[in-house]
Amino acid sequence: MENYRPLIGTDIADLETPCLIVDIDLLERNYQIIADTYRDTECKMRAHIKNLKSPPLAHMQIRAGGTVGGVCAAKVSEAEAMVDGGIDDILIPNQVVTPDKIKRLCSLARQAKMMVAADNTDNLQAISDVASEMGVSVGVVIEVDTQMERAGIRATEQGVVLAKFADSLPGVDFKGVMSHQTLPGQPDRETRFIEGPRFIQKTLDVKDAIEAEGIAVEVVSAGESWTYDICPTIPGVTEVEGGTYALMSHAYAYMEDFEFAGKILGTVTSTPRPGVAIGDTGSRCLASPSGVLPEIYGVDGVRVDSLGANHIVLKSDGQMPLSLGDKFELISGQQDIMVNRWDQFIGVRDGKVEAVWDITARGCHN
Amino acid sequence: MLELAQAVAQSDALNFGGLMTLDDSDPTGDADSLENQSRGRIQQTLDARQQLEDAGIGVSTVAVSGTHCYKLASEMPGVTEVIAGAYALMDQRHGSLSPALQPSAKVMAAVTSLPEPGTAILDTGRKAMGDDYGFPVIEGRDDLDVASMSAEHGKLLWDDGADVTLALGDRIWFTPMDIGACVNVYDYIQAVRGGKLEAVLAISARGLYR
Repeated sequence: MENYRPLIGTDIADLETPCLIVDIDLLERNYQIIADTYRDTECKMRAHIKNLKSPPLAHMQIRAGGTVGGVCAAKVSEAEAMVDGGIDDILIPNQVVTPDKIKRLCSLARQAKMMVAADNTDNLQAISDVASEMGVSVGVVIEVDTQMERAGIRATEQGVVLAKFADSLPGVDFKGVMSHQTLPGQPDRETRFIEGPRFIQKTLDVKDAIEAEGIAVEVVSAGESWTYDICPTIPGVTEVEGGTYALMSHAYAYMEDFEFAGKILGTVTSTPRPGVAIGDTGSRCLASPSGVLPEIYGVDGVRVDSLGANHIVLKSDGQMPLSLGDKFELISGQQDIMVNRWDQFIGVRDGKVEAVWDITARGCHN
Repeated sequence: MLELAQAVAQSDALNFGGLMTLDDSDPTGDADSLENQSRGRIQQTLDARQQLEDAGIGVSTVAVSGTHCYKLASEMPGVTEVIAGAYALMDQRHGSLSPALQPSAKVMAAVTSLPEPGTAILDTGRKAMGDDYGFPVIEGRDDLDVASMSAEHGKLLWDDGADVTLALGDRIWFTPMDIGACVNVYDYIQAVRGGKLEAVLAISARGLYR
């Protein structure tokens, strides 16, 4: 395991590379946007920790405000890392189906308020059986597929059937409904505000149908970073699962409110030809799912040409402004997959190291 | 090159060891053209060796790289080392050019949702596959297609008429596209023999980028 802990006060120019840096001023600015947006709204942020995988960064958002007081965790193991890190309110917005994992989920429910997404009666029964045996209660939200054609119920009636069943089971506490949404490309604000409510309405339709059966729906969880400003305008949505907004990614550049707070710092290790610089940051540490390249930040006239496993090729049209040993910063195209490749965030402010945060849920795939 | 080698050879603190070349060619391309390309690159390195030796500089090491070059390198006198990694566990990417090397590492996923007939959702997506070079390939299930993968999920589809029965929790096996990228997102390899766990091997250099 990597264990890079530069001394507090170290100048950014003296950091070993590659390393994953977080500009704390920018992170705090992003967190403040959330705090301001949700200060007086029914709807709150439940930060998706799959993007950060680090309890200290989750606590920072909760302290900044605008949240439900807890987080989303993609996996049981990620939830375990968050509970170990002192987070006590977690939604797993995915299905937990295998017997060992259901036991781990129920074990966590002894220490924290746990909710899990379900879309299947057998699965609800299995969770109920284990929770009852262990004497715990696990909150359940019904996952609604609104457009992604992934997990989740496809028809409103299915949601009602599942909600009634969950409501009747011991050890299971029916809480409400949840859904994810996605938009391709770099949509403009108008498109977001048309498509977001349209997708989320399907979740609200399920909520209404469940309530018509006399079952209370306390939680309506929806969205992603790109609906952070849409969800509070939709009555009935109680929480937003946003993740990318904290550190940002160039794939989310259209979310102009948020700053690029997370970057990979690299060093030029070879300048083999005019106009070409090779750096020490390859796809291993950057992640390039489907060949998505990172973008270089703050160096005019230089572009990312290609990635090898352990190298990056930078090119310039005119004279290459980067020399051997120079540092450069990169922004990832898929921020959560990139963070999953690292063990520490190096928090910097005004060009100096201010904190080192362990990414304790890194590699929590199960 | 000669200038650099002479500078190293004349230095008190450095020993001149020889030459190396990295071959980052896409191993999924056409076998003949890739072999020609690799042969050309290796020959270039061997020519450089000759040039150094003609200038009186001894060359003890000529290292060339890539699992796809492992045979070729043995046929080219003057090459002393092959830097290769993928061959051990193998992967989809290197398999087409080196059929003798069998994939020995797989990622095991589980079905977590069966939202409608003909669709299964898996607990394993791009994050757990290391998909920098593309999606993994499903093992031993010709009846299932990997329709898509997102960060945390995989999605399988099958034809309406296909006789497929999947239950929640069922295991699905994948061969990663690139084993190097995949290994780097895990802390342990679960080593199995005859269908039983035999050892748990720590991936102690995982994430070591510096």
